[in-house]
Parts: sequence; C-alpha cells; structure tokens
Amino acid sequence: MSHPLDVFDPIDDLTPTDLWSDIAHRRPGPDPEPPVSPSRRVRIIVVAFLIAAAAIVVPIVVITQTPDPIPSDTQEVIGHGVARNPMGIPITLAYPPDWYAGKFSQSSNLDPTVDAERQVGLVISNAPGAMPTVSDSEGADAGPLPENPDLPPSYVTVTIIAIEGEQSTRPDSDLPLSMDTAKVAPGGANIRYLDARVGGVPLTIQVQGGPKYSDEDLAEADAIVASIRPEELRVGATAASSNPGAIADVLVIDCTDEGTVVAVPVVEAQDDGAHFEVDNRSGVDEVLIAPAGDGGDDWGGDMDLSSATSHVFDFAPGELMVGCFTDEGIPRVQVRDWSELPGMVPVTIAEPAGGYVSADLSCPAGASSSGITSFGNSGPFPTPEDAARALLIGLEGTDLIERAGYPAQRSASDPGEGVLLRVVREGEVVASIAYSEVGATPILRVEACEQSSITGAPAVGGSPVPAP
Amino acid sequence: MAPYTSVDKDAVVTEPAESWADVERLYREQGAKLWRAVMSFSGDRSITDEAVAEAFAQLLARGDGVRHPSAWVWKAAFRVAAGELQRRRRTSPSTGYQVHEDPDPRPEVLAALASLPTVQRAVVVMHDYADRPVSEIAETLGIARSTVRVHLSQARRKLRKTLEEHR
Repeated sequence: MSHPLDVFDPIDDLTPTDLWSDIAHRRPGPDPEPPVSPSRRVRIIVVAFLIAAAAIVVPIVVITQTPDPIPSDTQEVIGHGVARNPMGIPITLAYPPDWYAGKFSQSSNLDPTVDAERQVGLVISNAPGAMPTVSDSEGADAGPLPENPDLPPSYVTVTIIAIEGEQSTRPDSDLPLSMDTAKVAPGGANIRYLDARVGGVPLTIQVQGGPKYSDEDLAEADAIVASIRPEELRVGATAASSNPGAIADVLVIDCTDEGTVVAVPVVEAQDDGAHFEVDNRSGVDEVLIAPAGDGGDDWGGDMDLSSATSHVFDFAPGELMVGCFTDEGIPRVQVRDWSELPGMVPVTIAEPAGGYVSADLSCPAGASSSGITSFGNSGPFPTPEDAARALLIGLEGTDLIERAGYPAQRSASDPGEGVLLRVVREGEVVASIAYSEVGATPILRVEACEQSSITGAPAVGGSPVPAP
Repeated sequence: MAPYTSVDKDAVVTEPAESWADVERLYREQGAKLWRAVMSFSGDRSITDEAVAEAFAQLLARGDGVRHPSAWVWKAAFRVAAGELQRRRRTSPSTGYQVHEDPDPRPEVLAALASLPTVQRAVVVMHDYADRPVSEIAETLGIARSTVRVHLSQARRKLRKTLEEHR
C-alpha cells in the first residue's frame, strides 16, 4: 500500500468556503466545548490529610458544574468490567461495563519542584473526562489525574490511591469493604473517603459525586468498592503448562524482558468481545495483534501501552498472534504476514457464553463481490434490518436478515457506530452487511456471494458508490 | 498495512490569540486545511462551514483566554461538527449528504470515508490527513490514546480495502 497519507491527497483539491467574513461578523453561539476557557476552568483544591500509619496525601478534586463537552456518539468505553493489578496494586475489582477506568501515577505534591512521594492507583468513573489521558513527564507508565477535568454534573468517581512502594504489616481490612464506614470530607463537596488495607497495601479509596449525581450511580460506586479483593494468584507459565486446558476470561499478556508470555493463551470472550490486559513488566511501548495463519497483512490492531493496558476487541473468535514491541522494534518495511514477526505468540479467542454470530460467507473466497452503497434522503428506517431489506436488491422473500457479531453488538440500539448484519439463505450465509450511518444517510457495505445476486440498490437522492 | 507509529507532537502553538489579527492569521494559515478535514469527517459542506466558522468565532470571542489557539480551534470545529451530525441523525432522519451542492467532484476517498464508523472516520482524518497529534485527537474525542491507535489501524485497513475494491 502507498503511504497512508497518500490516499488523502485528493482532499486537497476541495475548494473551501471562504468563511472569514462570516467569522468576523458572527456572534458566537453557546460554547462548543469548554476545555480551556479560564472562566470555566475547574478549580483544583488539594486537601492534604495524614493517615496515621500510611501518611498518604490524597488530592481531592472539587469540580464546578460543566456540561458534558463530548458528543455521546464519540464516547467510547476504554476498559470494561474488571481491573487487575492497577499500577501494581495487588487487587482486583469489578465495575459496570459502561463506566471508564484508567490508571494514574502522580506526585503527591502539585509543585513539581518538590521531591514528593508518588501516588499510584486507579480511577473509575461514569464520565470519561475523569480519565488520565496525558503521559507523565516524570516517566511513569501512566499519567496523572486530570487537572482540569470537564465533567458533567452527574459524574461519580471512585479513586483508589496507594503510595508507590509502600507496604504495611498491619492486617488487611475485613471484606467486603463498605463505604458506609467512610469518612465524609469537610465542605460542601460530595466526597467520602475510606482508609483500608488490601493485599498488604494501604489504600485510600475516595468516592465523589457531582452536584447532580444519581443515587443509582452512587450505589454503583459503592458496589465497586465492595468488589475489591486481594489479587488472586495469577496462573503462571509453569502452572499453565501443567494445566493446558485452562481458559481465562481476560487474556493477560505479560511483556517480560524475555519476550511475550501468555500464561493462559485461551480466552473466553465476554458479551462485548475479547478482553485483553497487558502486564508491561519490561516497559515496551505497545502490543501488536494480528490474525494467525494466512491473515496476510490484514492486521488486527494494537494497544498503546503508554496510556492504557486493557482493551476490549470485537475480533471474531479464532486464532490471533500477539506480541510486545517497542516503537523502535517494529519493522518499518512492509510485512506480508504480521503473525510471522519474531516474538509473536499464538492465542485463541473462544466464543462467549452468549454466542458469536459469524457473518463469514459460506461461499469460497473469490466467489464473492463487495462494494459500498450510500443512500441519501432514503430514510428513515426503523432498524438497520429494515434498511437492508428496503435498499438491497437480489434479496429473496425467504432470506433471513439478522444481526451478527457479539451479543452486545447484536443488541446495540444505536446503529450510528456500525452494525453487522448477515443474510442467511437456505441455511447458508450469502451476504454480510456492515451498516453504518453518516448523519441520517445509511451506508451499507455489502459483501455477497456472487450466486446470491445480492447487491446494493440504486441510491435515492444521494451520491452512491455502487457495488461493482 | 505497515505499522505506523506516530510521534506525538505538542499541539501547534502560536502566540496566544491576543488580537483579531492573530486569529485571522491562524485562519489564513490553517483554515483551509481545517475546512477540508472537517469536510472529510462530516461529508457535508453546510456542517463544515458552520463548524469552522463557529470555532473561529468562538476563538475570537475568547481573546487571550486560549493558550493554544491552533489545537483549540481544531478541537472545537470537530466537536461542533460531531454534535451537528448527531443532532441531524436524531432530528432530521431524512437528511443525507448534499453532495450535489458541492462545486467539486467528490473524491473517491470521501465516499470511502463515509463507510467508516464516526470515531474511526474522525481519527483517520485528523491523524493521517490533518496530521494532528494523537494526544489531541484523544482529547477531542474523549477516548484513550491507545483507542485512537486501534481505531487508526482499523480505519486504515477498512479504507484501504474499500479503495482497492473500487479500482
């Protein structure tokens, strides 16, 4: 393939509208987003309080009311369900699948010139703005908590804080932990904090709600705290080799100085896909993921470990290759088969309990054709299935159009981010349809067996890219 | 596809937008590129005009309150465009592309971009066309940088496949 940027060259031929006159005479509307306006800046108040034995200094972030600046169709869950060993803290916990989780590392003193101990931990929130997104300039593998978070008034955040390297000989707290015994921070903010010891590590756990938090979200936060457990002994390489039939619910990829190690190389996907987590012991930059076998250069994806070490992928169940790499270690040349890169190891994604509905065509490779078709002004359609039924030609009355993919994909209510459909004829999958919308324009990317005669219909009032 | 490891750059920093002339200079320097990027993302000239004009108008109104005017105006324009796309999808279900109003022939790549999910389209346009840093894209879209990378690789793969199918 040519350089990725080359395909965009034709865009430079577009003639922009000269907008300066409009800009100069325009009265701006409401703020499109408030990230850097000083008048709306979030105020940071750091309240340092000593904990008798642990001497943990906890930053408490008091946040003014701001609207959610991020359109909901651009939000994405960056980590689902289970957090293990956040920043080396030997705990596991569970959180709602539509919440966000991010690890952090920061000085306990806001003044960077002061040599202070480091706080590490995990922040979990129903608002993405609470997530650390910036690399720490001090070289840690996670960034600090955001100084100026833009959060909706309904936000609820759970922050688990430990002091790097600190241990305790005192007994662990009784489990489950309960925020019912938490202290309430002075002042008007909705902040409670709990001192605890789990896995021998002193923790400060803070639950904070915005001015319009819901009781349901606060209950979710308390449930997160209650789910905290000491880290269960991870199945190591030796144990895995003696138990080759083990199946994990999270694929844990260990990036070690000796290379990539996956102790339990079979992961059972969950409803939303396959959960990957990386234990980056050797300080590599990313994990590459590629189809195994004849996947060619059709690579699956990557995980940039500088900001997050867990992700949920919607790869179809099957065999993949994964490997830990530094930025410098990735070849800059074309590679025919990424799975053949030195250091890649095989893993297998097993179907979730809820099943995976494949949209792979029944006809052999080479016996299908594909194309994309867009339809302007052709809607609205109640469902993607209805759109496909109305807009494709070659369908037969008995053809079954159904959702494909993982259970969460199949039940997705918003088609804007893409829905996978398949057409079943006499028990055979004869077409797959990637359905998406741009504005209200349905976009159907159809791959169909040639014998099915299924293809896109002529566009209605738009500018289609007809199926060949 | 060859792996493409981008190097995060600090947002392009000009002097704080202290004056009308500064904003106009920024518009003359980057307005066309921004317009084309938002057009590639939204597929709609009216949305693009509105988003770019609103972003620069907001920048003018904020005066010296914006530390990194370039990064700010890119972020604002994409957010306005994303919000308008979302609004249209919810409130005007019969409204689609208005391609016949475009004075230019529509590049094939725009049609291919239209087949991508919203986030992937935004990521690949901002990164590969507009050369915006990953950190800025992540902040604009409210997603992690690792998620930007994954979307980028998946968007490139789909884009390449789509374009190759039509050649």
